[in-house]
Amino acid sequence: MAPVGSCGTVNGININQGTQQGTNGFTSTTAFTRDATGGGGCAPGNQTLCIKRTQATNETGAKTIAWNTQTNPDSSYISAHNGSGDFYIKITTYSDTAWATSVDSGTVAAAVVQSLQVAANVAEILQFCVGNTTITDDSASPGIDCSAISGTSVNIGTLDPSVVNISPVSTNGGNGTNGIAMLRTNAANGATVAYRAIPAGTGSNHLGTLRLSGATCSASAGTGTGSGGTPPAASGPYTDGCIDAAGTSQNSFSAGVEQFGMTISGVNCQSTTSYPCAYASGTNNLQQQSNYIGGANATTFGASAAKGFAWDESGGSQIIASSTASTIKQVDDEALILNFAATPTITTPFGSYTVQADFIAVPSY
Amino acid sequence: MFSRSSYRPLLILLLVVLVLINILPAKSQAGITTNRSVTLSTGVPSAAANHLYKFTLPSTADIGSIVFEYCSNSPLIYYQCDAPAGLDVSAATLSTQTGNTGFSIDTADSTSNVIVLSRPTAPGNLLPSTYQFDNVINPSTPGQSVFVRIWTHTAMDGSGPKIDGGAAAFAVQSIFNVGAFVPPFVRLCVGITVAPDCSTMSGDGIDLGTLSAARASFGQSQFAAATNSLNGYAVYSLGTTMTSGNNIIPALSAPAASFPGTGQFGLNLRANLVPAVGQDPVGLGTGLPSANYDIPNRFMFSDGDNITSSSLPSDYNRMTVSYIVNVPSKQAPGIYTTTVTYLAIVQF
Repeated sequence: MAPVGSCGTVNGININQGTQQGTNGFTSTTAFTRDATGGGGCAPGNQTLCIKRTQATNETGAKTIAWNTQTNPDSSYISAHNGSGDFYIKITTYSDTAWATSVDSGTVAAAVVQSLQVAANVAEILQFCVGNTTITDDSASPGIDCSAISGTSVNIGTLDPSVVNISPVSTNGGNGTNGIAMLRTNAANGATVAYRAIPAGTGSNHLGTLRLSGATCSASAGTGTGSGGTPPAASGPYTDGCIDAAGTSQNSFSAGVEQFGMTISGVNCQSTTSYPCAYASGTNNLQQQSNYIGGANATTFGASAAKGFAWDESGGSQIIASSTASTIKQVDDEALILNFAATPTITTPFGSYTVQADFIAVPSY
Repeated sequence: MFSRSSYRPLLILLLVVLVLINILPAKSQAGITTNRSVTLSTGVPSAAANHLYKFTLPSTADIGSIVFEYCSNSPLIYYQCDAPAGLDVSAATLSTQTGNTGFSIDTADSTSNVIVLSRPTAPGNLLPSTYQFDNVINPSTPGQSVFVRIWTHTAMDGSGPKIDGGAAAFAVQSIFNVGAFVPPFVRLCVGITVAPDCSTMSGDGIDLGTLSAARASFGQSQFAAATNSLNGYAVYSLGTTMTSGNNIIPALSAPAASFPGTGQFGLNLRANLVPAVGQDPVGLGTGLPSANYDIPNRFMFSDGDNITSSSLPSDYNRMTVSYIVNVPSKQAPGIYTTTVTYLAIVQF
């Protein structure tokens, strides 16, 4: 369409509707009204809007009329004009309300354009790693992300019935490390971290706890209390090559009462950059399960025999931490510090004890 | 531009017209499944595992197939999928399905990293759906993130437009080892009194007072022992009978009762009535007094005798050693003493 000559069709447009929304520059504030009948030089239609007001006043200078409920040209107009959506509006003023005597006229231009939609995809993210670390609390970073996590073992050294060995143990064969599990995910519904004791391939019974290779262990668990210096039952299973697992509940350990378990001393936030995260203030999104809180509470780093440990030897998956209940469920390189602990009885057979586990993160997007 | 009438004041009107419209390309919009996850029965690399998928469809669009495509490079369908090293789903079986059901594995269209579930095309429902695949061989690269692109199709063979979907992710990890060492233990504690578990002990001497031919003199000490040796332990008593210079009080070479007025030195590990001294062994271990020292009211002493033993790993047993001394009236005066040493031996 061009600003000269006859007025062509503007597809989709409809300006013959709506009401005055406001004016500016007029000396009279009398509102214009739309006239659907028109007359004289103004014939209302989709492309023609006839408006009038009853008060005749000479006007000079720049004027503005805002008119609402106008329907723009549609996309077919753009297509029909080789992608150009410009159109022109001829404006004529009349000195009367019958559009009989024109005063001034002119043309303005406008255009509709194809809108530009900007889209992007944020891919699902998961970085999960397990290793060992000398980190014991939240005072230092275990590494910028999973690329800095390494190691596949924790050794808690030489056991003695007079003490409970709690990692990290740096003496008598201990490798001075804790376990660590670091998670990064943008899963909007949160993520869980679980472990599973891998049943030993040889031996029998208690296959998922700290045990001698190939040991044939008693099917039952020990019953001794060991408290107050009372030893556990010597005729019981404490003479087999398996150190009893603490079970799925968090149990306090007593030196000399055979048990093995794990806890989480806290969540290290030093590698978290996407949001404020501090274990001491409870702003970590990855929260320990209640039976794997090693410290006095969920904001205090620690692990102790008194607070206790848990270990499921069944081979089933045990969730130890989760962000599903957190207000913010995404997790940015928060690291669980895993403490392992064991104590033997005096009759626990000597030798090298091992247990294997695999750790699994399950993000829900 | 406005034309101007010759005598009318200039009137300029500006119509402000909203001119922007949203004109979007006409195309179908794939829906994103929600609550998508995959749970592995084991995260051990290269292990045979069960993979349990959960997700909720966003629409009731027709579903004839669901494609699970394992990729190591990206969850996004805009990228070519790189199959994770070591992964093999070609022998996977569909063990459970809930929600949108009726599927079976389309083996013809599945590959080592793609599982196609197929059913007669039917509308989906918005219920949470689960699908468990057994016997999936996990990827072999520890720590590598693996993305599973999950998309529904109207076609039954996983072909054609993707309808609804998204991705889940997992990572296998190297097996984590926890180790400890239990050393050989043998614990022996000796004293006038000891705790049953050797946690405390006190005293190292017994004063039997003035010996008399009219009555037996007696006293007691204790020891406790334990071991984790598979062969158990043995405790030996080492020493001499009571002497004072060249004068001796004869040791009982065989179990015998106490006879005041007769030269006797002996011990046993039982509760006695004549004289009233000693206690029976206590503790939950398997240690027992040797036969010659296990007879109440009978005493003996022989240097190097095995007085207690166990043939098994044994928890603590506390033994109370009763000593009796009798002297004849002609016993030479003097201060009679002896030192008895207790020695535990184990074989590991």
